[in-house]
Amino acid sequence: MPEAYIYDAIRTPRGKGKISGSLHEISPVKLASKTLKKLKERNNLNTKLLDDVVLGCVHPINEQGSDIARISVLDADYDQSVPGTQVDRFCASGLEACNIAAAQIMSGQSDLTIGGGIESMSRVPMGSVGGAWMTDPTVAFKTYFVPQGISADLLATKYNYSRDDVDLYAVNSQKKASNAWEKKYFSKSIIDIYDQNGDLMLNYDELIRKETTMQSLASLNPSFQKIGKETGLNEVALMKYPESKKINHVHHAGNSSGIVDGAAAVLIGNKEIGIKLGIKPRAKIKAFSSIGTEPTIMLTGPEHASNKVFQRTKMHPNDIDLFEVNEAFAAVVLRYIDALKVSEDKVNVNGGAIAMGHPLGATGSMLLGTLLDELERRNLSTGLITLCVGAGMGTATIIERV
Amino acid sequence: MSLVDFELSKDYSYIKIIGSDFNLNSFEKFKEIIKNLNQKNCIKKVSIEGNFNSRLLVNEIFSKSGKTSLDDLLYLLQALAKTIEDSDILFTANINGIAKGPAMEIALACNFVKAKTGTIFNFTKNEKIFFLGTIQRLINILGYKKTLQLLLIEKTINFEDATDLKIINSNIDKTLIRNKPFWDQAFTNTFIFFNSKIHSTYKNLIPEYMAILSIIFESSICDYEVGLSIERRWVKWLILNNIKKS
Ligand SMILES: CC(C)(COP(=O)(O)OP(=O)(O)OC[C@H]1O[C@@H](n2cnc3c(N)ncnc32)[C@H](O)[C@@H]1OP(=O)(O)O)[C@@H](O)C(=O)NCCC(=O)NCCS
Repeated sequence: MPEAYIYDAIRTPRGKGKISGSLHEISPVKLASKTLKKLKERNNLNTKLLDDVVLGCVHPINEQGSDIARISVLDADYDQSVPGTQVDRFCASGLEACNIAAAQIMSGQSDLTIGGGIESMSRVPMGSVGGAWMTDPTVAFKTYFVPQGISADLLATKYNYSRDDVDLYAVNSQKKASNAWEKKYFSKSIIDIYDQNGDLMLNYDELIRKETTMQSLASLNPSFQKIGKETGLNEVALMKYPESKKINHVHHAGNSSGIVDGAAAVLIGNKEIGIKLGIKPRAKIKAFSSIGTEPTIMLTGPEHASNKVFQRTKMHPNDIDLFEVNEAFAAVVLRYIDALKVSEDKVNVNGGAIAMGHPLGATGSMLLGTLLDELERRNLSTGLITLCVGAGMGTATIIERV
Repeated sequence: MSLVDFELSKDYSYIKIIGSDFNLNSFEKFKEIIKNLNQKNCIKKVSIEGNFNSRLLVNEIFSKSGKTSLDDLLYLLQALAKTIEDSDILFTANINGIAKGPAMEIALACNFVKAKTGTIFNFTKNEKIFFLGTIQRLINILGYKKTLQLLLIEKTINFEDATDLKIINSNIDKTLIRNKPFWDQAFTNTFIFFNSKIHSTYKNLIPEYMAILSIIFESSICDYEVGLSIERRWVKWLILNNIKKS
């Protein structure tokens, strides 16, 4: 089986996913195509050699709709022979896109691909895509549908994570992310975003709040208490988890992933194409898997997806030098650390989505790049990226430096 | 043709625009007057009367080459209209003559827009006069479809047309929240139609059309305030693009 090598990985900075966010005035297709253009420029890429561009996007409607991958390819002035496809595995879409791009290489059906993702949450808001899970009563009843915020609080309740536990995690995420920015750990991958006039729009993750403390977080009200209580969602969750009796609402704006705009792209190919293009492989995608788990608690997928990929590769959590576990909510990462019994100092060493935001379709591919940069910086070998995914899924990918 | 000057009535109830053409200096002067009025807490209503014609100013703007001075200028122009719009004073524009470009924007930013018979509104692309906030305000008044039609047919709008379109002599609700299309079929179809019509007619040769279409397209997705900024970016693009070409 051919190996799938990672040749390059880049990402945009993350802009606040609001009208006041610095990337609000740039359309998602432009954000994605700027990323593709930069990848081409950095690697002096002859795009005729590209077999496919796979982009994750969780709200593929309106200006993000109609196969944004192919439209971004065209907007980036890639050769017209390059196709593009958009994939949706909710929050892991960006990682899934890289996995699919890698699978094309591993199967021998492609030589050079790009995996990545895009989400402009300020312009195409979360939830705007609709879908049967949330809305069709025959599905919602049967699966005990609750939104992810309620699931996160249910997870914290079930595994006894207190408000202090999740807040402490969040404070550390902010510290680690600010430290990484200050020390320029992300600079290898970040591309500055300019408008049509060459004016700088954003060159840093603007959500970070370095000054976050336990005290400042203590003043924030739980975000999902009101809707949980008033709309019956808590009861739905408790019908599925009667042993919990009462949901402890611990998540709020400061310990949940922030809503942001951003895009990322990862260049993946076989060995021969690297030689042909004169570019050096940085790592290989060793293995990956996705899995489905119980959808009401929804967010425990990372441990199960990781175990599945460990089984396949006959590896053990101890074989992993660094983990990137998407900080969708603080309890997700705490649970992962406990379930897999991994050391906290190996997980999200440069912070994550609580500090910097989670641009749904792009995050997975951003994490892959962040992990690779950090493995290189520390001269370590093996890393695992995993994300919890809507409807109870999880995705995990193991990369290994070469 | 003469440069405009301003006459402020003793009781501050009206500003008369004397002369026919705004340039940058007159704009600055006008801004000072509005600023002073805003600082006097007692004023409730002010009527502004005369020509809202800014051909000279537009020429000045489009001959700017320094990027920074261009930014300052564009901010200045939009800031003036915003000041009028956000003021507690009720402003009425009494257009008497010609309305063009940034000065027309001042008129459209007022709470009431009135006009005398014979008034002409100039939206032609060749003079690039409709940019700088005018488009945003038109979208607010007319919606995206009519704005597209109006700006792309390239003609001057006479008093009767403007009345019909409710650009003048009707009560403009400034609190009106733009009716966002959220990408309904009509929105998509409208842009498919206009894009192809303009593209097939003018090929890629006229950047003004790209700018107009883009401003209306993006502004219909984003909010009004964001729209102003988008419009500013496109005007800048247009100016830089023109300079590059020449
Ligand atoms: C939790 C959530 C509902 C909060 O939304 P929100 O209230 O709009 O959050 P904001 O980021 O605007 O923060 C609100 C306020 O909290 C406060 N705040 C946020 N983070 C803070 C921090 N670290 N320290 C101190 N205060 C903070 C601020 O006062 C902020 O207001 P400001 O930005 O005007 O200063 C939202 O972020 C969310 O849904 N996140 C999860 C997204 C998701 O589900 N993704 C998929 C995962 S499966």
